[in-house]
Amino acid sequence: MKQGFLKFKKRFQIHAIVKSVIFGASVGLLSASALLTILKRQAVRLNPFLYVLIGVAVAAVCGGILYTILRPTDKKLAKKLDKELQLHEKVQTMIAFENESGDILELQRADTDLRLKETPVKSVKTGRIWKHTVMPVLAVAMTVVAAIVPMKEIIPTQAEEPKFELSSWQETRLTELIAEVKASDMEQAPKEEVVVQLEGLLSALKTVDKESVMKQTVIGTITSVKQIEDKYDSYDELGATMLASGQEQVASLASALAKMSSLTAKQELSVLKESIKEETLGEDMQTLERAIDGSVAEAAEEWQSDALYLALTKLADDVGYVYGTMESYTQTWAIMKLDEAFTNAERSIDAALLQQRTNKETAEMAVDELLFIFGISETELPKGENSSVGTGSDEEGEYDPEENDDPLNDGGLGDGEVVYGSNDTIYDYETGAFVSYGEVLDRYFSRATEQKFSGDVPEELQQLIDAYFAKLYNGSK
Amino acid sequence: MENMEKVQKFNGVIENVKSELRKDVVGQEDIVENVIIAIIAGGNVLLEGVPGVGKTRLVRSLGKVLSLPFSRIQFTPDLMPSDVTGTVVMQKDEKGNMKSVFRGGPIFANLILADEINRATPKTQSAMLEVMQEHKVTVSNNTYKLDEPFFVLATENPIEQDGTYPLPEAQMDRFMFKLIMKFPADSELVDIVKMTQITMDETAQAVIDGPTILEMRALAATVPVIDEVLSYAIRLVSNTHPELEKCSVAQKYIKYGASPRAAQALITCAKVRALMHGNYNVSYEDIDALAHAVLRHRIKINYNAVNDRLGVDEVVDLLIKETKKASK
Repeated sequence: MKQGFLKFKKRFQIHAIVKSVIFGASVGLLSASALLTILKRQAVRLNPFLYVLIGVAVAAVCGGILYTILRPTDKKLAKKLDKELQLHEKVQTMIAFENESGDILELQRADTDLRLKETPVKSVKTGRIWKHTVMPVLAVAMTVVAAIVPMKEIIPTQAEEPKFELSSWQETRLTELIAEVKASDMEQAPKEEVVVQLEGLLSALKTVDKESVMKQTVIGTITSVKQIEDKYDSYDELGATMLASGQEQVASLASALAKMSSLTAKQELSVLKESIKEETLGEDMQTLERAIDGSVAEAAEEWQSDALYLALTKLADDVGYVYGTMESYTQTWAIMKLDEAFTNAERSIDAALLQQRTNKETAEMAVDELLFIFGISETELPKGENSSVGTGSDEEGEYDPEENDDPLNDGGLGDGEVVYGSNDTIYDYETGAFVSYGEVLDRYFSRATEQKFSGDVPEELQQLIDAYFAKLYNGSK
Repeated sequence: MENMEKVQKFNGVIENVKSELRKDVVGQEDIVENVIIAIIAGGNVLLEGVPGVGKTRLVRSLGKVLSLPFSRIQFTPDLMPSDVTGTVVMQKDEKGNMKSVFRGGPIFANLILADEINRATPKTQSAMLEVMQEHKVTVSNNTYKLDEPFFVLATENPIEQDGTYPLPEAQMDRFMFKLIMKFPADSELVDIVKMTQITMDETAQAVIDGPTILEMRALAATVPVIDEVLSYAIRLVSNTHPELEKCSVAQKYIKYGASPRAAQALITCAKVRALMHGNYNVSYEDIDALAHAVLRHRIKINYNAVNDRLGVDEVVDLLIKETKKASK
């Protein structure tokens, strides 16, 4: 029964499937092409397989949706057939009452189905063909566009450089630093040069408006300060020169000088003196004189007015004098003179080393303060300019705690003692001396905390302060 | 095959009735068809037309064709209800005792011709109400059922308004159809004159009886109608009501709309019409074709329609148009 109806239904189903496939494929192709075009203009590359996958997925979904809309339900098709074939609701009646029985109903079904069987399927229109060409045309056009559009090239854009403006706090701190340096026990000549550098930095930063320029300027000043310190501190060069000279007699002394270790230097001088005495004041004195002179000879031109150099050369002269005149005098006199010469040498060398240590520490204090004020990390400094060089450093500038026996440099390593993050000494501006930083740390921390909570310190610097003291306290605060 | 025979018999009877009626009634094919539809559907018909168009002749001819007891009631202003329904009279029995006996009026027939029904008084007209609707008569607290099939075919003259009593809406609603018999065309008038020169008597023969009508009625009732067509018929009737504010035509031109009997009449008669036309289902066309006959006496047009020179049939046309438009 209703075979006539079913032949129309089959035709419409096929048409619905074909239309859905065409539409789905077109939408899939259109969407994949559109996506490709958009991503090309955004310079984004995707695996080609993904485009295929997206296209197929969109095609399946859209095609499915359209088929759901287009698929001919019996009721819809019946209405269409009645209208197209002018059957006056015969088909609709047949479908509406297909499950009911009755004399007239059977006649109605038979009559209607016969009419449908006798009607060619093509007599019913399935929709205008041009409507189904729009999407494929659009899809092809989009595909062509996607193929033609070139991939956008990415030109790296420079990020806008952060700006810089010298804050009042930074200005105040820098001014205070200059005052601290001026008031320090640094030697006058390097002090003046350092102050000039710092004052120059202050005036330069007032006109700087970019952070990169600021950092460059500050790092330049730091480099200059270190160079000044290097220029005026002879301990490492003299020590290195003496060591390089190959004069074994003064090698230990040279090593002590290079490490800026007054105690060791004193000990070595004492050893030298005792060795001379043991040799009953013999040619060892001449040897020593020549050794000292010979070892510092290369540094003569550069360090001729340097206190350490003068102390060494004075020792050499004094020992040489004793050796040269000892035959005119008694041995007692010679020993006395020898003792005097070595004592003077110890004093002079100690004083020279102390001064140079003061210079170094003041310079390091200034550098550290500059780094802190302007939020610059030590890693940003040029290589070799890293300020984490403690006193008593070796030739490479690294701190070796085992080599450092200077009481001023003892970092508190001991049983039951507080361990800090560094063994550096620090300039105490209240006492004017270089002390273990543990002695002033609490005081400095309290003051910093006060400043922080007073509202005078910008927030970004508060974080720097916290990190700074956390490091010093080894994380305990 | 049996089903087909039934339908063939149905259509055969219809054709026979039509051909017999054509012997006495010239033209008026639509009127004849609608009268047949109403009879098979079991409804009453009101025929309106100017004198001489063949209203009474059609009914009398129909009475012959249906081979049913036929009664003609000429309504006049002095006609009493008892003249229609009958009355109780005193009568001597064999023993000479007086007893009351009911004497049925002319209403006791299968086919009633109520001629010029609008000339009767409202009291007499109301006597017809019970008869037309319920097919029974109540006199002196006794109810007398009328034989089936029972039809009332009434006529009224639209010209003579003096001394007439317009039928009340309640009675009008009991007529399934109101059919307007128009003045015949010249060619039809020629045929009428020629025919009546031969004889004025009706020559139609009986071709159908009461049981056959009842069988045909039962068969027509089984014709299916889909929900969409049913809804369309209902919408058409409800659109006649201006107070429902569903239809602009009703709001503009109609004073009051049709009763639910109109929807019943539409569907019942549409089934008969569909079968008569060789269809086994009711279509929109069947509804549209019967809308005028069903609605014209059930709706009251207002002064706006009169002002716009629209008759009730034109208003029904507009209603059909607007209902179709809303259905799409």
